Amino acid sequence: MSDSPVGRFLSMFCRTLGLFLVLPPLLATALQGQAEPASRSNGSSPGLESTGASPSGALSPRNANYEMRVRLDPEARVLAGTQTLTWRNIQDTATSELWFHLYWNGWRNSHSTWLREDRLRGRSDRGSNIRDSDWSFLEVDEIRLADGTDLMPTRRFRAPDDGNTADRTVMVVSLPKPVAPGETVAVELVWRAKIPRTFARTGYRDDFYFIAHWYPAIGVFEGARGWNTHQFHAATEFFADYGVYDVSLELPDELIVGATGLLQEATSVGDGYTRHRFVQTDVHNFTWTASPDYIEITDRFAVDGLPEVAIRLLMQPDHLDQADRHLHATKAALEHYGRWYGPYPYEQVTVIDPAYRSGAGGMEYPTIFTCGTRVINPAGGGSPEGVTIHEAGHQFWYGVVGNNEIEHAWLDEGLNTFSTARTMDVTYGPSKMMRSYLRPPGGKIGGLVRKRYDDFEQSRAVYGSRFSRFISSDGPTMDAMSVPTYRAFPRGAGTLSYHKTAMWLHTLERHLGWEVLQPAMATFYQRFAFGHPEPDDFFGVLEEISGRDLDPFFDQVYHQSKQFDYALASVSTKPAKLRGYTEGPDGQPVVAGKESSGKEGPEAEDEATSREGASEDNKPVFRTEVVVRRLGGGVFPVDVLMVFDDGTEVRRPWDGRARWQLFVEERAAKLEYAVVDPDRVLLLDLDYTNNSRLVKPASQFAARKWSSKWMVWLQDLMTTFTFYL
Amino acid sequence: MLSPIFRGLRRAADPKLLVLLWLANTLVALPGALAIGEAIRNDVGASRFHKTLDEGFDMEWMAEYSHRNGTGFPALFAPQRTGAGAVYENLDAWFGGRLLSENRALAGVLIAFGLVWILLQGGVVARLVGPPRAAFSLRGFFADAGGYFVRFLVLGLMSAFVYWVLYRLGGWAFGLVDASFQDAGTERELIHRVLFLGTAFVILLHATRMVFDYAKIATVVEGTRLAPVAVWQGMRFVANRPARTLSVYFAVALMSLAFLWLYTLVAPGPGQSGAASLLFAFVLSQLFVAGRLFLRLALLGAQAEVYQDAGGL
Repeated sequence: MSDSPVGRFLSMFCRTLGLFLVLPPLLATALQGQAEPASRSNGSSPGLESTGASPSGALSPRNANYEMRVRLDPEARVLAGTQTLTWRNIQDTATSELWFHLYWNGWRNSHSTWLREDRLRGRSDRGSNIRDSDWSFLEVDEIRLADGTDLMPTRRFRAPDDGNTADRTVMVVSLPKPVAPGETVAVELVWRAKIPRTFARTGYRDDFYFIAHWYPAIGVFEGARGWNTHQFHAATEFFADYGVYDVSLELPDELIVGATGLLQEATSVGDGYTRHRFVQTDVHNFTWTASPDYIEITDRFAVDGLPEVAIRLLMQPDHLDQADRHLHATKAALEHYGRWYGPYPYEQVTVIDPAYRSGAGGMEYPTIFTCGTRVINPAGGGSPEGVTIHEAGHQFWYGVVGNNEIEHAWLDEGLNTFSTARTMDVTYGPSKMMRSYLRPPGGKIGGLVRKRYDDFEQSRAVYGSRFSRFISSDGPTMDAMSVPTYRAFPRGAGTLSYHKTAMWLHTLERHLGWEVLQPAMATFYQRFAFGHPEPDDFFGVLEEISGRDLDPFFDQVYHQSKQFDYALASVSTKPAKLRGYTEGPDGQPVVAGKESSGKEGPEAEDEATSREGASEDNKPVFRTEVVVRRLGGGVFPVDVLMVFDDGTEVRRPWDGRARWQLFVEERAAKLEYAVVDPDRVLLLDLDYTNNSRLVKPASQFAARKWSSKWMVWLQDLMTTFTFYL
Repeated sequence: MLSPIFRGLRRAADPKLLVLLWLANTLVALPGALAIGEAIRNDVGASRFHKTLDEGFDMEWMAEYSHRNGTGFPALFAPQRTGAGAVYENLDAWFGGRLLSENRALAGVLIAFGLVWILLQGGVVARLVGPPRAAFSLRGFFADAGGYFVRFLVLGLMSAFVYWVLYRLGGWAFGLVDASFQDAGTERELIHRVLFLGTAFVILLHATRMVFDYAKIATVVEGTRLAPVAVWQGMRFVANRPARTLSVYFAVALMSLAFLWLYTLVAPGPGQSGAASLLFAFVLSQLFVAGRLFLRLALLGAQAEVYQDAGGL
């Protein structure tokens, strides 16, 4: 291959083709011997319900292809772009309209749907502190067909979700003639975009730029269901078809650039500008970043059984000592997600350490993602490793499996939160509690020094699945997860998408076993790679692979917002001595213990002992009664464990349906304690403290221990307070 | 410089005085500790979580405890407030001026102890400026304490007002720093600036402390009746002898910092699972509390020596 741009493109194309050839066997490896590993037909995405044929050798349908040329004016903070969109109708219905997202109009003014929802969710990216120069817009100045037909006269804005006429994030144009199934239409657009001071990780800070959601992006045509082109909402992000992006960015010479895809060429165009051309196939979005401060570090991910991936890390100089931590976490994600679900299908991944206070941290985009760390950030506390693995993981759950995030954000966020926690656990083990200090008066500046507390470990269940946030948020009592994400109460949407999904996947892992859940998720990944799966697709795959009817579970956690809480209501263990009347030797009722069998001596004593509750070896028998209650509305099968003072353990399964259940054991040992769900399978149980009960409560020592330790804090605080007096 | 410090340390090494202060501190803290103990006991109840809490700590239980005890006094319990964490948490709260703002019940306890401390200070200062090795009597101590209570209370209110102003100014200044980093600058630069401004801020806080310490000493030694006059006397004393007053203060402050650092190294972790080890940990941590009180006495004692060495005003 030559070194010319065309040669490099061909080289990349061939490598992609090669990857396509190795992908199915690798995915089959991830399935670990599943009977019927799903196969991918020649270049098509099997899960996509489309009629459009994919270009030969493509991983995706490639029906939304962009060729863009963009120039940045750093003084005016404006992007000027021309783009050619080539869109192919892959549905079996014609359409005479084209719908576009103009996301940056979400920050056009305070009446946009994004800003209204941002206020409603109780935390604002910018609060009321938005200056005139901070707002953004995306203005389409021209839109015409390749033959020159002007579509501008037909342009109008729509607000399909809330009817907000002030919202300009969805633009529609009418075509002179419908695009038939399988037919392609090319549209040329000329547009201008004012870059915001960061909203939703997008914008500028000084000479740092993170540019996402930035160009007029075609919506998803769903045939008879019409266009799926939602407005820009505060709690939702992406949904787009896959395609090829060929993007040329003309930027000031001093800027170091990272973007979706591979850099094809960087050539000076005069006036202090360099044109950077990036190309990427089979992605559904394109994002880029630029800053003069980036320090570039390159590495390769290479492990047996998975394709090699080039890693390009763009670090802030402040964080250079943490570069290895970013690289290690990225590789951990590529390896574990790759082995569990299927390989990362692209040649390169670009890892971005965003500028301080840029607001761009912790976000995923195709083949590029942002992390986020602090200058003083000791290892072991879960950051930046956690965010790096999470965003790298989104390359799989969001990048490759392109669910509709606007309607079902949990399908990628939840699956990815679960997978992040698992990867963190197998890579780093439990995380340590972290606290931030050096918080000056005024409350404007947060803790600048992070301190790790090694004595306090946070398990995967608590930290990874964010159990504490789950139970302390409005999530458990808010919307059902089946409510489309963009319609969910903004304050609870994140809890549902991230935490609740991770919690119930974690529960499924403990219930079904990882050996069942892993191939199920791998099958889902493979079957819906480069497609747009719906929730039922995921549920169907889980049921198919597990061979279990999981509908009752999904019904409770997804279609309804049932809460789970099993509790040990009471325990008692008493001698199994019979009191009252019993049957005497002559068949007549006699008071228990007073009857006589006519025997005398030791023989009579043995019989009396037996009647009064003793085992064969003459040990007294105790009757143990354990009452378990279902306090929540949710139903889940649980075990009840009874542990006796002779060390024996009795485990009794319970379907968990009734509101309460009595468990009785008679044996020559006293009960020490009982636990419902002893293995904590049901991680969704909101109160695990009430799941166990000792016959003799023993919390006194713990109370003394921890209150005496805590008292030292109060004493020290009081002494500190005297400073002021 | 060292002579008044050593003499101050010797004066502070008064077991009866120290026990009195420790007792006052402990007795005021005890109801809070009992309330937290009760909250933990009730929350753990008959559950098996007692086992992990006996042997170490359990963050799963903590997540549930925090959820169930999100308000009131029980909400003050947190694992980072035990062991060495207590030092970090309190230093951070002191620097940020957040001691009274976190929780109303806690503010009540602190104000209650503040009043007790103001009462005791009269006796403490009188003893520190009195003849060395004088016999300690509770009656005499409390007679002095009562005698100076109103004047020290007014001094305490004045110092609280000055600190309030300083923290407001500090908040404003740090707010300006924050604003200057909204659109440019790195975190490292911000840390440097916060450290620079923070150092100046802490020096101001300590300078204020020093002036009010000498105001109390002047009140006792000179018999000054009006608090503003005593503050003026304190300021004048410091202004006339900056090297001596600052060096003594700085030396004791350094000793205090070293002491705090040492405690963070030996502070008991969560590992005590038996009564004996728990008792040992408790004694060790109470020695730390006593040590802090001793250093507070030592500072006052050294300053009293400086004042008397100088022959007063």
